[in-house]
Amino acid sequence: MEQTVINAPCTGADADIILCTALDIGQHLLRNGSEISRVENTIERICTALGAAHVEAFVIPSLIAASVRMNDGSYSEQMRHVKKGISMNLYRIEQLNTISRQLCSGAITVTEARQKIESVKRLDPYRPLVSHVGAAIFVAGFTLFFGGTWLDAFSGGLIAVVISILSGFEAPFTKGMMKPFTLSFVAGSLSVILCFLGIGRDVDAVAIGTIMQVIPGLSFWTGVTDMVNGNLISGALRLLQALLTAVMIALGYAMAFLVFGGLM
Amino acid sequence: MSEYVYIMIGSILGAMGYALLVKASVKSLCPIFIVSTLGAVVYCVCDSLEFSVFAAHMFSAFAVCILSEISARLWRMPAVVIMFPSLIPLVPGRPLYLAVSNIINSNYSAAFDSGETTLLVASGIAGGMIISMVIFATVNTAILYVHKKMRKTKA
Repeated sequence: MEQTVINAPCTGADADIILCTALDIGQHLLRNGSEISRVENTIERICTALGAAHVEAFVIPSLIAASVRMNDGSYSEQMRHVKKGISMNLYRIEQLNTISRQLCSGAITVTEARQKIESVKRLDPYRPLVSHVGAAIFVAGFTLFFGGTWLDAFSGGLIAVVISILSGFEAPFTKGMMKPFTLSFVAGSLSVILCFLGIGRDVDAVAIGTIMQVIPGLSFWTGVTDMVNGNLISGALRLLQALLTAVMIALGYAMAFLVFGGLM
Repeated sequence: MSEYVYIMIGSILGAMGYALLVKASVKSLCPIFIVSTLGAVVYCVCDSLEFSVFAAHMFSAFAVCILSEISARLWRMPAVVIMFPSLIPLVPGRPLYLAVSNIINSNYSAAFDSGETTLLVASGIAGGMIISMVIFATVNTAILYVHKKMRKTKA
């Protein structure tokens, strides 16, 4: 249902087209992990640059509501429900930011901007394999950082690849708050099993390395940024999300250690 | 000393790996490397001067945020693209894990201490971010004001 709304061609008055384009950019910024203040700012800047007399945008992590009034008196009010969870993609944020700047400066038209948004939706800077390797380097680095040996770093890297592949799956057990629980349980269990098999030595170092991959750093930072920028509702929602995710991670690791504790 | 070498290597690898994980563009990897290295240096200096956990994380987060904003303007990209991966090494993963581990082992007093450290580190990072944002917003406003004044004088 949501896809239909996003892909629907913008027809009608200028106000509708302008707001639809601004909301498209805002929605994709939100989905790819941008802060709320950036989304609001982008929508307001685009509409103002394209000739709106008055713009209002209200954004929370799962909803964008905005209205625009043009100089000729035409008016448009639209809403987007961001149902899918946030999947961090810094490259897309960068590209959407560039489109927004080009649109505001008049370098591209609204039609060109809409075509570019469509292409950015599926744009990645490199293949998924590079992301998995990145996850392995990330966790291996932290295993060393927290006092692990090179062998621990290797097993941490292996677990990171599994978690990275698992987190891309759409399944009932990876929806909402079930996702951090499932990923933490798998990471905790694999840490214990790999150390039991002799691939790692220190379960604690491996587990601490892998916990960094699932920890809600993004929600926490965007929550703080939103709070500082005065978006109290969005900031509070993001911080609550970070807190609940941390609790689910703790539960996932606790469950793994209770189940596989005998191997430690 | 060797402990700091491990911290430096770990945090740089961590930041660069996270940048690849969250699909940062190739162009942004250079500023991320510089900012995360300098952030790790600030953390090591604070740790060697025996600063508290809160202060060490606050100063490191402050340095990372300020440097991210500056590099974002130099490399012409959003500051979050550099800030998020560079802040990752400061995230309190270790105390969170120790809290869970101690709860499992029925060591509640140690679990409470680790939980407290988690909150202190998180507050330190938030504090550093807030201070840098306030300073940067003030400097930005001042620069815009001076630009406007200069334009008016020229006109």
